[in-house]
Amino acid sequence: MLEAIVAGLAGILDLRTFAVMLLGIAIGFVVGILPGLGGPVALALMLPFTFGMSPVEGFAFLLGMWVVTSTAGDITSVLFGVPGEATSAAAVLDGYPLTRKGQGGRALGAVLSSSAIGAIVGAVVLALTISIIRPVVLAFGPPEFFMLTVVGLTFVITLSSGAMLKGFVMVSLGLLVATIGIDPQLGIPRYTGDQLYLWDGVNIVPLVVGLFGGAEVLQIMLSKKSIASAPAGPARLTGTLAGVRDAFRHWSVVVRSAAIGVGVGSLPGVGGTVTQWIAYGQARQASKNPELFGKGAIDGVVAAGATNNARDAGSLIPTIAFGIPSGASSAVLLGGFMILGLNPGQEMLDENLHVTFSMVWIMIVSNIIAVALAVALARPLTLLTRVPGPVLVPGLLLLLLVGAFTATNSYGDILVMLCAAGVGVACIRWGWPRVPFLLAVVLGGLGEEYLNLSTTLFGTSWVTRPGVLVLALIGVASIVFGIRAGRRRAQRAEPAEPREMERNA
Amino acid sequence: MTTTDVTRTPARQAIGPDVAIAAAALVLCAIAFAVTFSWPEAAARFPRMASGAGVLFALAVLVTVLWRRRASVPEPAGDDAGAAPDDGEYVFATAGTREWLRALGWVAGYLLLLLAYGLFTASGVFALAYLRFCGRRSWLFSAVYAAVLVLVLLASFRWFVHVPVPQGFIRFA
Repeated sequence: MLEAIVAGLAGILDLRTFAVMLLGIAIGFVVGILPGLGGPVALALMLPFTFGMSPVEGFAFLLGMWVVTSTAGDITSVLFGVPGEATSAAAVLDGYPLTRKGQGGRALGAVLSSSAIGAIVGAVVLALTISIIRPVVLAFGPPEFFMLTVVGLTFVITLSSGAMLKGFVMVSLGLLVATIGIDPQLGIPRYTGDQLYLWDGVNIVPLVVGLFGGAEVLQIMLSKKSIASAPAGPARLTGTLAGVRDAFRHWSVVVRSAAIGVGVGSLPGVGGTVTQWIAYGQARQASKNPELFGKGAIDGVVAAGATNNARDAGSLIPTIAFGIPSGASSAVLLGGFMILGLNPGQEMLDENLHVTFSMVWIMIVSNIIAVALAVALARPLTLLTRVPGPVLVPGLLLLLLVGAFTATNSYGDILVMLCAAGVGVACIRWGWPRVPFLLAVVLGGLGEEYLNLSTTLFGTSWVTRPGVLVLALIGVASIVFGIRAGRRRAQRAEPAEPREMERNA
Repeated sequence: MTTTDVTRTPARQAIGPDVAIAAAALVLCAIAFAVTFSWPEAAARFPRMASGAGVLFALAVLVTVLWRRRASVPEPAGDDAGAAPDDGEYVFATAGTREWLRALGWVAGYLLLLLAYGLFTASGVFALAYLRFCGRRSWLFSAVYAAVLVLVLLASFRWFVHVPVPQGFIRFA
């Protein structure tokens, strides 16, 4: 274990890897402060650039970029009241009022340093979990892994509360898309329509690029607005160090929020935007001055910041250990695993343990660099949010096309990307969830493989294995819980929340 | 002008697209389900499960949506509510036909250029034209932007990482 930890650190300190990580951090930074361009979109657009990279280089680039989007997203939340990321929305509640009071620097210092501490706590928990979860993963057989894919999908479906049935339909369609191509067992073409391009199945990269990136770019083209319009109000950047001190003074809020981030973030499908609100709620409950929340409470800012990166670390746990992404970003990251020739699960905890630990180190190092950068460059970088939309469009469209095409160097990829963009737009416009569809495409192949293995090895008796039954119960419970939660929300008439949860999961 | 020229009741507004999407999903899954019977059992097992489930869930959505319309039950939270002006849903819903056609036209134009001349030329021409005529930037700004974009492209894909990019059917000597 110690060897793998040291090898992981040595891996990211390699000059080329470190340079690639810095590049990822720079891109993640810009993407993070641009509202609308979230972590999943950035990951999807940059995924093709990892072709030819070694696994550690690839993850230094992708993870460095991803974790920094959360950190950078807090900057515009605090300064302009515009969350750079959906997951940075809670930072607006108290961060922006502080800025309006002329304490923007303090709020920024607090949110960024708590974000860095949260990342470190999250990464440590991830490292510790790997050693605990390893024997569990090794004890799992194909039937349990098949059930895990099913449970992962049910978790994601429950996010579409208020529209759970739509989530089920999207999962079914996603699974169907996953079955397109040559059958892995008998070599029979399925749903290929005599198109040679489809024999290898639908590539995940153009699908993700279109589903998320395509819809966002079209949105910018239609609105033609700058990505963020800064509300009026002072945005002085003074007292940053005071904010850093605030984060350390409220260390208990940081630790609790980071723990919530890791815990909730590790539940497939439940993470996303939900985590920050749970952490924010607990900080308010535990605060000596709950009446200040929403008006500029510094512990509210600290709670929101600490959750973000800890959640990212948490979401990596099921992705690495079981190959079950906990949200859109980790689903795209799972595509990165495939491109880099890695198989999540046992392999990542055994022969590729050093890669897993390098991921832990990447999370820590990239966050520390990002926070230092943020403090130094906060003001000039936020000007990017005022760049008019049309100026961004040529570059973004180009990224979409190149991102899609490089999957198999075929115009078929671009066609898939366009179709996926159409699906993405329809989903956004009429409230159908995109994430269950994407996760079903990602998990479909894996699920079929485990189902075939289970049936071949155990016939039909695998359904009575204790592990399978326990996982089935968890799946059913998550659906029941999702239905009940949806009903409660409907009764309370809080229309925006479930939609946001689904949209940003 | 917006796409909502005709005044409709909120319920009908929300139900129409849901019915259409669910019906399309139902047809798609039903066809996919039927096709599986032409394959051997081992190859058909998983697609049959997926398409069968799709048929059931799409039917369930249809029944639920139609029942809601009949019983005048409002759509559940999360279906059509909470769209802020910066949301994609709001932008897509309020954009007029003209804006849609213009945006899609630009995308189609870019794709045609791509097919004809390949990535580098198409991106430069598109950036120049889009910024000048849609973004209303000056010729100088548009030209500099396009040149920088093409240079970055060339540096990234041709000189640095050597990743294949789309080639057009018309090649320059």
